[in-house]
Amino acid sequence: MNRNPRISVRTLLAALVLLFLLGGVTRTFGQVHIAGQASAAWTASQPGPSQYSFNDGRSTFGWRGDLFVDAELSDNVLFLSSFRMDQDRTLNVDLFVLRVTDVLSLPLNVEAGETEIPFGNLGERRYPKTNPFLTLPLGREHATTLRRSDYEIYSTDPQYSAATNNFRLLDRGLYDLGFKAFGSVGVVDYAFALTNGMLSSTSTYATNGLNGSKGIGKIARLSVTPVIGLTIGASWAKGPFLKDSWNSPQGYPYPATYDPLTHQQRTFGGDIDFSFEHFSFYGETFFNSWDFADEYGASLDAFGYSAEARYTIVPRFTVGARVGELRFNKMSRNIYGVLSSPERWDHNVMRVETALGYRVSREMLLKAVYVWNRTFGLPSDPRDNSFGVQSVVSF
Amino acid sequence: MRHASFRRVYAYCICSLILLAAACHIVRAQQNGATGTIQGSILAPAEDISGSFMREKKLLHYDSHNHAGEPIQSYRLAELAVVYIEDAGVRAPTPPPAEHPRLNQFQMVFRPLVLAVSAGTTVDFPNNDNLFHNVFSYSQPKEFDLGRYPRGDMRSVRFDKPGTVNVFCDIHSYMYATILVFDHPYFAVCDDDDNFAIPAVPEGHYTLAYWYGRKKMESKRITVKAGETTTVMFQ
Repeated sequence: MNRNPRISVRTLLAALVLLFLLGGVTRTFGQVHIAGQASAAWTASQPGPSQYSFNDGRSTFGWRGDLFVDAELSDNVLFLSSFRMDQDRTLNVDLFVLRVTDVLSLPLNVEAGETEIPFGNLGERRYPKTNPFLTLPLGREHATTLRRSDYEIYSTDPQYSAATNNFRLLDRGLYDLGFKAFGSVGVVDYAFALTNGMLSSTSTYATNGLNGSKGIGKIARLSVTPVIGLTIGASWAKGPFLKDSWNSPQGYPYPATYDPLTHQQRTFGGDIDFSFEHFSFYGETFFNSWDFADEYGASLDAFGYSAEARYTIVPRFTVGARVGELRFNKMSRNIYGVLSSPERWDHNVMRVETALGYRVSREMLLKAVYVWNRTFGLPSDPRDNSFGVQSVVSF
Repeated sequence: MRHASFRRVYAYCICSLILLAAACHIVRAQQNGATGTIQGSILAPAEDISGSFMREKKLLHYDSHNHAGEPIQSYRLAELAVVYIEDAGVRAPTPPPAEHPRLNQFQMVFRPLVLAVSAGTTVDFPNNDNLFHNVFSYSQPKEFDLGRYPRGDMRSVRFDKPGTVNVFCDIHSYMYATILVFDHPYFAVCDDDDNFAIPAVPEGHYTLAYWYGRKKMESKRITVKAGETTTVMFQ
């Protein structure tokens, strides 16, 4: 397949701003810090009719690069950014913020730009070097049956992910354009953000980098660290997730009564992070609701959790396991004024991952991961388990 | 064929005898008190390594307490520099010190940045920060991974093999330190006036090296004479 690199206007703009900033910062302060990660992987999955069947079951090589470009502009003004590319050759600007720390000598930091959304506590686990697995937790990866293109649900289509524009519940690494205030007071950490998009429709994957909704997303997180090594957090988010205007592929506009602000996403989450000696545990759970009263007579709800544990057996060798599950509510659809019998708007799914990691050196990690997927509610569970190996270097 | 083999054995014997004689000479010189002292100064001002640590600490993307925090105390030269003989020529193991040397984790950096110990020494790694560190090393002389432990706790590691041990924190990637493990006692750190002294060095010709921060900076050929002081300046 001959595929051309896709470089968007947004990418070019970001690169230009970065170059300008780098040039100025380097010349003036010499305080630029550049780091990154590069990884190469080989994955093979079963060729089932499922979104988890990677590349239609063909064994596949892939790569990913993360570049972190940061600068200390003054004692309390920082520029932080991270850029991500993979075999799609599309440059994603994940993080791109100007941060002011210790505002007015208070325990308050603020930042603006493309910021990390303070929902959950994924932290550095989003990067291959610190993620013992090949993917993020299930709730951040699963593409639901709700399509962005026409806001229809396609729960009867087992290959719904082929449309590639399905909403996720939590949008992968969760970055969005906005403003964030955060800090810590004693054992309590807090964060509050206003963003263009919402958890399921961040600007990271939007075509032009800006969301098409006139609403603003509001996200907050509060966490407490009662003892070193244990952090318990709670997150909340609310905001519109649909575009202001829309034309279906057939050219039908929204109904005249449509108001995207009445379609809100509400999400509550809890997370726990515990580690001691050579063991670490991370768990997160969330309840997500999308308002769709007009279209479906109810909201589209989902509950999910993920729990992962890691243990370093001896220096260099680490084993890990993660289990995650997503459950969706039942609803009746209004078809020409007749309510259908209740059915789930997406299939409940479960994933179990096991991983073995070997640190070749401080900079290089090798890992092997087996992923076992289970989809409920279909006549038979799709064959979509996978195995992959990945090497990661940091620099 | 037989002659060639005989010559090789003969050459080995001669070389071994020479080396043995040299070693005996050094040991005897030491036993007889035929030793001298190496002393000197490091004239280069201590680079403010703490500043670069401070910057990297602030630039951690996912530190939930992401603000500058307390300024990191500047390193004294004694925490940064070690002077040592590279080619002592003979193993002269010394008994480990009664009190374990410490590599502290404090203000999210290691202190000192360079620690010199004799083989057989046990080093303590106390955590004095109000967060976790995960000290580890994959260096050939000693591999270890201490895991995570809280403030006030300590783990210890014994270093039996000579060599350079690079120490890192698995959580805070910018944290590093070096432990230089020697199989002889001829090494020293600077005092507060940037001077160093290595006493009781057997007379002979040596290479004196100067380690600063993360790497060896300079080495000089020197001659130590019995009862005399050899002065060396590192710039």
